[in-house]
Amino acid sequence: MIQLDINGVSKQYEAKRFALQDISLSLKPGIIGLVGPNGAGKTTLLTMLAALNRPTRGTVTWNGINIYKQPKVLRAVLGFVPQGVGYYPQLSAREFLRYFGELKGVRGKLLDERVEYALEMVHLTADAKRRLKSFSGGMIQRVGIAQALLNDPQLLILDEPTVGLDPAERIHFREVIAALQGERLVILSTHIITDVEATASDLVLLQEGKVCWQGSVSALLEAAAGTTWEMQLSPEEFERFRLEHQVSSAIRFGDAMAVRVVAQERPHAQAQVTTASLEEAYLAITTLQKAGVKAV
Amino acid sequence: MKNIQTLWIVMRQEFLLLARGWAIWVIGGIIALLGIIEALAVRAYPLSVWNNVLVNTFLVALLLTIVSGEQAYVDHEFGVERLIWSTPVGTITYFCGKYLSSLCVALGFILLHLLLAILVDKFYPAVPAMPTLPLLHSILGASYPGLGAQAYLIWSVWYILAPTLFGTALAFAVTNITRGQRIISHILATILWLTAYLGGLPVWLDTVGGAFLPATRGCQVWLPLVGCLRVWDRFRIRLLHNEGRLWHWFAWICRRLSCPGRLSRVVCCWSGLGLYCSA
Repeated sequence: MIQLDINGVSKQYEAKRFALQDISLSLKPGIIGLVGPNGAGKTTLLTMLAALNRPTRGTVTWNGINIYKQPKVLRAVLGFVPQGVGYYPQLSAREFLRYFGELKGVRGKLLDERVEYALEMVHLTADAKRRLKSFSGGMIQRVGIAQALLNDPQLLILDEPTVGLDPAERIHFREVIAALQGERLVILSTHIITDVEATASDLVLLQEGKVCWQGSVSALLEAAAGTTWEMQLSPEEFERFRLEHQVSSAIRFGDAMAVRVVAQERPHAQAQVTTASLEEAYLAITTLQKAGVKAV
Repeated sequence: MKNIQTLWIVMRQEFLLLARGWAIWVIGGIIALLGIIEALAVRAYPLSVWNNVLVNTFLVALLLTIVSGEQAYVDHEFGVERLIWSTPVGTITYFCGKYLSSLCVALGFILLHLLLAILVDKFYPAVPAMPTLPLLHSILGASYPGLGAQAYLIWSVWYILAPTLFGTALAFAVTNITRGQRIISHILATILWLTAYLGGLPVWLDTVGGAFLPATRGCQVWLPLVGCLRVWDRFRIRLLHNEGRLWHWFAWICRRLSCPGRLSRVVCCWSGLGLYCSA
């Protein structure tokens, strides 16, 4: 049984500035969605989990082994997709993947098989011979995802993997991630909640370097129950209203606006409580906690 | 065994990346041209042979140092560092692979420079002087006979190979220590190379083989340390400081003989430092 334990991890860049503060998590096989606004500390945490960055305090263990003392143990089973995947423009997609496969210790016939499998998974088989310099941003991102799959990783860390992907590629990416379920731990960082809505078994919400919520998707929806409201407002009224409330969506129907709001208390006389979407639940947790509301 | 395999994988990849870039071919062309120019200049103006050779070898060694600095920067430039360090590849193995590949490329270029110089020296015909048609004369052939391969070989080993071995290690170390600030490596190499004209630092460091100094100057620096040296070193220094003709030639031979020891010291010291700091 694989297990990744994060014990009291903090990362301090300046005297009073913490990128991460006392993070403790115990992660088991499944797909973990690491969600948080920009600057919440997601990338810092993920680079630490990949043993690329050391915490100021605390430790991370992989199956009981300290990953900073024995990073090779972790890296042998790690697939990592960093934010903004780098590449050698002179190489073709296949050459690039073969190189990284070899660095990961995959050799011989198995390497050929794994490279072809990875190319197929990200729909790049037809472009495998093309030089990477001719690839679009979305295609490069897919090459990055493919290289992470080469060693059939037990721990797959994906840092904002859907950035640069078009809607069709995003949907395909979710399918790829869903297909990877099994005896492995997938940590997927994003600030786009729909990326993890269908696939994640658990969510970790990070805000200002701290874990502000952890649990299953259904538990998050439950925790945010009663915080989402819907109503109809005139466009003029909406302009005033949106300045004072956390609006999650606004759709115009003729002269009226159908508005959904995240609020702890009834925000308007006409407002009716409604079922929160995952995005609204996330907003409820992050914005209301930030505002100091205790209930969520 | 696994590390050796990985080392070769990294080296092979570096060769491929270099071969696919245009810059390396341009630099190869420049170095080949410098080899030809060196021999042509020697045979056209034998009285200026020393100046011509020194400037030529200075340029080649500096160019190769800068190229190796660029190669160390590649991963940073293309943003693949995080991908590489997320694999189980060993830091030392990886940096050794990169360093050895840049060294192999530099050695290849030195060989190319040397071969072209020897070929031009040997096969470019010597023709009688044509005082009225100097341009035609320079096209038809050289004014003076060739020096022979030995002279070029000695220049190449002493004035290109030694400083290039030092330079590649220096460029590699500085580029990695400064996390890709290759401009610092280039400036440092240029300063060190220029100081070779003026004496001083390279001699103290015992690194730049191409120090443009009289034969005995480098050893004067070590005189205060003679007491600490081995018997053979003390003997060699005494020889180098003897003004007599016989001793001068004997010292010249000794200095050539000391070359491998000095080279290995340079390579081990700087490569070790580079790899240690990179790791």
